[in-house]
Amino acid sequence: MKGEQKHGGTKTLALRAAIGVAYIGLLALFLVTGRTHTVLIDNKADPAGSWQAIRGMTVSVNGGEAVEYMKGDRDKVSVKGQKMRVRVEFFDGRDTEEYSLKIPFIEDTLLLSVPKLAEGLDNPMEPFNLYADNKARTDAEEGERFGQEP
Amino acid sequence: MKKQFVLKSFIADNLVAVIFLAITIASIPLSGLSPVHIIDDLMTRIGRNAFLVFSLILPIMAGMGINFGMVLGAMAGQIGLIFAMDWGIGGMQGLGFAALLGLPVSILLGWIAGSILNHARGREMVTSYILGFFFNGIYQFVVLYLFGSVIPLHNRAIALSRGFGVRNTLNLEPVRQVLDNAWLVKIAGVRLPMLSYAIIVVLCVFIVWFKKTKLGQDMRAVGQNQHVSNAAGIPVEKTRILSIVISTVLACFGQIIFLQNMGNMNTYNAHDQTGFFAAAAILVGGASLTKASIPNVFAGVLLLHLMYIVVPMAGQNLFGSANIGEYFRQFIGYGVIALSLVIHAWRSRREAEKARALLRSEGEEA
Repeated sequence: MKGEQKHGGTKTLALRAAIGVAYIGLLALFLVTGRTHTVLIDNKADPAGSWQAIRGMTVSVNGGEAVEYMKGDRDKVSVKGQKMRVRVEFFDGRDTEEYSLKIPFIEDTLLLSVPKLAEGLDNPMEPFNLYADNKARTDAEEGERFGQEP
Repeated sequence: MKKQFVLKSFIADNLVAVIFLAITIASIPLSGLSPVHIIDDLMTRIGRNAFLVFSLILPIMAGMGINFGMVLGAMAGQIGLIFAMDWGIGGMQGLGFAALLGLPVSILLGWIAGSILNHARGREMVTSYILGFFFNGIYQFVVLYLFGSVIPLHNRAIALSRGFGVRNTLNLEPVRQVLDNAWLVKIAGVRLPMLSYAIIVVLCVFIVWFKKTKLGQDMRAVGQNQHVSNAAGIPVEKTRILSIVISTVLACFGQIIFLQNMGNMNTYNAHDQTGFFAAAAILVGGASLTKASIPNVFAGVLLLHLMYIVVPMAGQNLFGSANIGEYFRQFIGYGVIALSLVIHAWRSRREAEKARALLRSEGEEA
């Protein structure tokens, strides 16, 4: 009788543990597969002159709608998951290119420089801190307004 | 023996629904809206709201009246969504993540509410209503002060500019209408969110199955007579707590379904009216404080939301102001709840008088 009770208790405990593991597993699965990143698609030249902006192109991310980018354009797309396929069609007659990129799980926002990617330079996609950029710009503008050095 | 249909008793039994139907039917031609527009809007609203209304069935079955404490479940769902948006989880995964996170919170809150309601027998509805206000205070404190200070918030887009607390309006873009658009069928200009309907059908099947289980039968017995149930060995308190826990969990899921359809969330007020609208819907559908069924939910959601669609436009066309329709909407909603409570009190008194008269006549005969 006592042995049966003990067996029943172990079974219940095992079931509860399995439910707990399944719960955490599902949470982790949803977190990893559903994690959405904001990617800024950038077509600007390097201020130091290392790369030039592309005159005109369309960019499609993960088979989505192709968006037109001219020199100096920047737009954003949301990417779910940690992999990204970028298809670039150039207006100057160059062959269409397709790139596969990996997005770090931890990053919320990244800046993808398409000219850097097209030229095969290192780190075409870099983390981008929207708030730090805005804060720096706001501080500079405030300083300018009050006649101070930014 | 075949039961004879008596119009007078039918109207008396369904007074709320009949009054409501009469007002709504009168408003349809006045609204000037096309049938396709009305049906399309109605179909979307059924997918959006029915799940929330279903969460009220089990507490009614357990004799606890309308669980206004379902707002606790709605708060749990919203906390799940805040976390999902903070970690940027989109699509179905975002909804699943929010539901999974909201689940333990709603179980805990449901258990607390159920335990408190066991100490307030006979006054469950007003107690659950006040519980909603009490937990609203705690929710505001958590979301306004603890998020970003004690509970880490890493997405600054959802935080207040001071660094802690969640913004007043949360953009649910990553999960916006993912459930509705996953399987959308269009028939003659009417959009049908089939996946939302499928989830509602699964819930209906669950409720039908649940009523046949031992726990379901216990709930019904407890709802009919607690003393007899106790004497029969049914754990009355535990059964009542379980009905509130299940209701709160369903409200948590229902609020997530509701908000994904809306596409944004009013962080501090979205849950406020949840209980009120759900209660109004089930009462309009012909449910009473002691009896509710699946057809009551569908009839109620259909009627209440038909009124919500046509009355503001009827008010606009009749009085030149849509606000009149809005006031009317609120007035009717609260009026329906009040009328149901009055009818319930009147019926209870009438039945008690009948029972007393029967007892007296038996005594005289003896």
